[in-house]
This record gives sequence, structure tokens and C-alpha cells, in this order.
Amino acid sequence: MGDLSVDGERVVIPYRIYTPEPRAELATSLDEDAALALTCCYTRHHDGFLREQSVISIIGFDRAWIVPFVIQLLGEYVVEISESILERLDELQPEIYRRFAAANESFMRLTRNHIVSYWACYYRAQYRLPAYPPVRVLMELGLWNGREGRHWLARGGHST
Amino acid sequence: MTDKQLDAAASATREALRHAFPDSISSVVAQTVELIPRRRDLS
Repeated sequence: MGDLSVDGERVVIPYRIYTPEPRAELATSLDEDAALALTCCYTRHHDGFLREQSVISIIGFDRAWIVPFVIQLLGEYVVEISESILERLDELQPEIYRRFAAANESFMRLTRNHIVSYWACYYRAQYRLPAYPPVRVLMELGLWNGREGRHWLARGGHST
Repeated sequence: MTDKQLDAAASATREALRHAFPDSISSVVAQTVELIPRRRDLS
């Protein structure tokens, strides 16, 4: 993942972390933002269940620096995590996502390309493209605004 | 991996995570990443 911009500040999100979670009693001493930041970190963990539980915990908060962690997961291969995000779509704060997307067009384009690629490789028998959870999340947020997947979308997302 | 290698890996993870957030919340992030366990923290 390259450099990203969050409200004009540069961030670099690691692809995976392999360190275990801290002991629960240590985490309870954190204030809200610190606890949120810690949970954001574990959205990058190698354990997919921990990534899913972590993203569920953060998506309802109105913090611009949460957004790249959520978008990154939409562009990865675990559709169950995107399903969990989709189920909680009404908790997302659309404005911070749109602001992030406007400032990170190449990252959004790359994410949409990843989504189409994973769908084509692994999920085209299970979903039409417009119904594929990460596509639905970005469409609902108004962020499926590139040309990615246009061929499939023009055909209603059918793979044959 | 030895404990020393695991410590080094944890330190690298902490450093990477410091860059995952804007500088404007660096003091918040500093206390956060200090909780990322090193090998000897795990008992």
C-alpha cells in the first residue's frame, strides 16, 4: 500500500501485522481515540476473524483516519468481512469516506480493480457484480465512480 | 524465532503503525502502539 492522505496528512497503512493483541486489561486503560486507533491496527492482523471483529468495532465512529482501514478491507479477498461492513452500512459516515476518496483517487481506483479481480477469480458464480458486497458498499457510498468493472456492470454483472 | 527476533519484529510493527495515522494524533498513537506486545509481554 502506498502513501495515502487523510485530511491532508500522509499515512502509510501496513498490509499485515502478526503481533498478538495486548492483554485486555491494558486496552481498557485507553481513552476513546487511543482505543479506536488500537482497534484500527488489528484490522491489519493476519487472522481474518480478528480483522472482521476489529472493523465491526470501528466503522460507526466519525474519525477520518479510520477510513483507509475500512476501504483497504473492501479491496481484499475475504468477502465475509465486506458482508459485515455491508450489514452495518447505516453506521458509516458517508462524508468522511467521500472526502477520503476525493483525496486518494489512485488508491480508490486500485481498490476497485482489486474488487473486480477477486470477484472474477473467486465469486462470480456466487454473486452478480452489482450484488458483490464490496461493490454494494462503495456504490451505496457513491464511490463506485470509475470505469472498473464497466464491462460486467453493463451486462448486469453476469459472468457468462 | 528467538525472543530477540520476536522483539525486533514487534518493534518494526510498532514503528509501521506509527505511520498509519496522521501526525495530528501522534500522541494518541504513541500510547496505543506501546501496547503492541513484545514477546516478553505475553506471559
